[in-house]
Amino acid sequence: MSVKNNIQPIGHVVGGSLSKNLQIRLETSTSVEDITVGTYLTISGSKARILGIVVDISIGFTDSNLESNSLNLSNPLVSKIVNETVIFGSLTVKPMVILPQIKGSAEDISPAKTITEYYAPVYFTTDEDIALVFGAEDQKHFSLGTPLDMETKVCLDLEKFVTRSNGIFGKSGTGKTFLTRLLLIGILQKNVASCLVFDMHNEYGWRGKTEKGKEVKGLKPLFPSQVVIFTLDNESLRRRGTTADWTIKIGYDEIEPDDINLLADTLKLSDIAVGYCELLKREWKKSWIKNLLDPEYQPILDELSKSLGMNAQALSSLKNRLQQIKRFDFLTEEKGNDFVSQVLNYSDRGMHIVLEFGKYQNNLTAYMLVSNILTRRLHSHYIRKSEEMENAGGTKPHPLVIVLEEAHKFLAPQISSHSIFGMIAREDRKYNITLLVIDQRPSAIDQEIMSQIGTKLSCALDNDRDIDAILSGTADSRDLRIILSRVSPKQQTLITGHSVPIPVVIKTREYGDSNSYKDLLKNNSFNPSKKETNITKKIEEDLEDLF
Amino acid sequence: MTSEINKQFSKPLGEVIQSTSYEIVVESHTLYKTPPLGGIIKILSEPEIFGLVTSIKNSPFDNTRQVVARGHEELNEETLYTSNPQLEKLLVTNFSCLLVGTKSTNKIIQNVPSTPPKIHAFVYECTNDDLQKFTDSTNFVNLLIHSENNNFQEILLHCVKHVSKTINNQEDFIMRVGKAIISLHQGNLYTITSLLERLGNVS
Repeated sequence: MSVKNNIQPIGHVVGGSLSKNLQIRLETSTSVEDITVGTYLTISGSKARILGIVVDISIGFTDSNLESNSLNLSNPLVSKIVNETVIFGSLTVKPMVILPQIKGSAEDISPAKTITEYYAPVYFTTDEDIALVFGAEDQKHFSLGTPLDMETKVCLDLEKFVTRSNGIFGKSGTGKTFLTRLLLIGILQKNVASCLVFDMHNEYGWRGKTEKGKEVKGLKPLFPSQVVIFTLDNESLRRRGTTADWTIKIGYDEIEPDDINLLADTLKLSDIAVGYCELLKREWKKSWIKNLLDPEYQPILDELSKSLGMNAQALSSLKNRLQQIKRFDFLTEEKGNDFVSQVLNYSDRGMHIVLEFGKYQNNLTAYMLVSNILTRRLHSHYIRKSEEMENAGGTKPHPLVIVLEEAHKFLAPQISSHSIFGMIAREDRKYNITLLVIDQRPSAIDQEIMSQIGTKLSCALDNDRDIDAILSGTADSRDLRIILSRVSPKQQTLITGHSVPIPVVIKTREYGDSNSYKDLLKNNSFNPSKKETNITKKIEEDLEDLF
Repeated sequence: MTSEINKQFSKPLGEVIQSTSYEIVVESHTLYKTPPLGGIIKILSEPEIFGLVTSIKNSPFDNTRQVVARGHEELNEETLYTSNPQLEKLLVTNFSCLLVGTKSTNKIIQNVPSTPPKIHAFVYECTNDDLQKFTDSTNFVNLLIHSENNNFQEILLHCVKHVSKTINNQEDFIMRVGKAIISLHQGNLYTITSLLERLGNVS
């Protein structure tokens, strides 16, 4: 096992090119087992220092006969001689950026447009160089973890991050929720946007659980003055000994045919049935759902069906399937409680909203319906407000990040072109509203949407199609594929995209013990009003007691 | 100068009776007393020259007089020689050495001397210190292999065995010799396998 330092070279450049990457032959003192794909190395040429990432590891033979004929290596001394002579470790390293020759600033870093000379020594990258590339934690940079086998923090430029829609991907149990919590805390701390979390499984508000069942804090206990909890099911919160700031009631009149269109798959509605929603809306305006589901309106519906030439069977099927939503307690035939205004009110003040689904946590229909209704209204509001401010010469509304789980249900190819989420992912960064999608099946998301994702945080994935989906359209996808397919299922993430200077595999920072909470509570840039400051102070005192 | 040094080494093994740029033949001063095959000897010339014993030969002085058996009436070999004291004068031990190094200041450079040793130059056993310095390099493996001696494998193994007995970093020396063998026998898997297996057993 070699000692990790930057004094002794671990190998030398023995070949390669800028397009096909550099070949590094390892020194005999460094075993291939000491290095993993995704590790950063610094190649020190006489005129340039290049930071590269290991994309492949192999074993080479100085004698080609040995590949087909094995030696008897039972004698330890012979084994050592052979291992240090005939067999050598070889790395394929992708040049990423050129570092300043002597310690400089981040401005001195430029993309690698050349390679070093033959036999340039290769070292493990120092913490200082990593800090130079990724920046230190400050008003806009937030640390999500450390590179593999290193201590330096890898920081995301969150100000840049929220300007585009982003995605967190990974198979079940790989830490997507923890990563999302950390990102939300970062956004919250740096005050770069407001977040609206459609919290399907009630994991982000008050508390969540680890894979092993250990309870961890949600955002509300950590940042009580900056987070508000909305719920569809107050009873559920009460049972869990917590409370909500707002309970959502949605009137039937707030449901649009587009909302039903999104549910076509989950409600198993035919295209014809979905089309009838528009016809009914045209006839009955805002009362279309209420009337459709009202038994007393059946004779009128029959007449309408005849007059409009509707297929009775398709219409009946639509009515039957929509009966499901009658069971949702948060829907009311009366007027809703204008929760959208409340959400906007909080988001305009830079606060963060977690919408818990309570007992509907496994009901995809409820999740999709509510998130679509709310997002549609927020979208209209943001467009209107942006346009108004543009005309008046003012500033744009406070950026809003919508956190969406099971994103493939909203962004599948067949619906993404007309779903509100598809629109936001495509172009709404212009209106300061973006998505943070969380999904375990990125291959089911429209490729066009995937190409619009600014930063992708990819935990372990074992399906080739999902890996391809994440990397399609990414520069160097061939090299990154090897890295992504080897990301560990525990606490490791590959970050690629616009908010990191170079792709990086990180060990995600800790979340869930008192030290991690204390660490995360540092550097909070939120600037509440005077009244809120007092509340915050009081709560922080309470938190001290809590720890 | 040379005579002064010679005084320090009062017991030479023998003296050079033939020399070329690459090898010497040494006649032992005492019958049967030679360094071992693969042993390292030195000649106290300017500079000092080092040789690797590649063969040892016991024969009659006069090649035209064939040696005949004399022990029919003797109890053992010892009494045979006691009963025939002339044998010590009629028989001779010679050994051949490949020239593998010269001394430069305090280092031994493994190379071929620029001029061959003189005839009658005295040949001495190396000291432990000499052997320690000699093992700083393994170029002697290269010189031996390229000497076209058919028995280079045996000579090399004897050399490693002999030298590694007296030096401090025995394993390191064997390792370096092994590496030299591999790099000098690229493509010859049989030789590498055979040599390494035997080298592994030296330690």
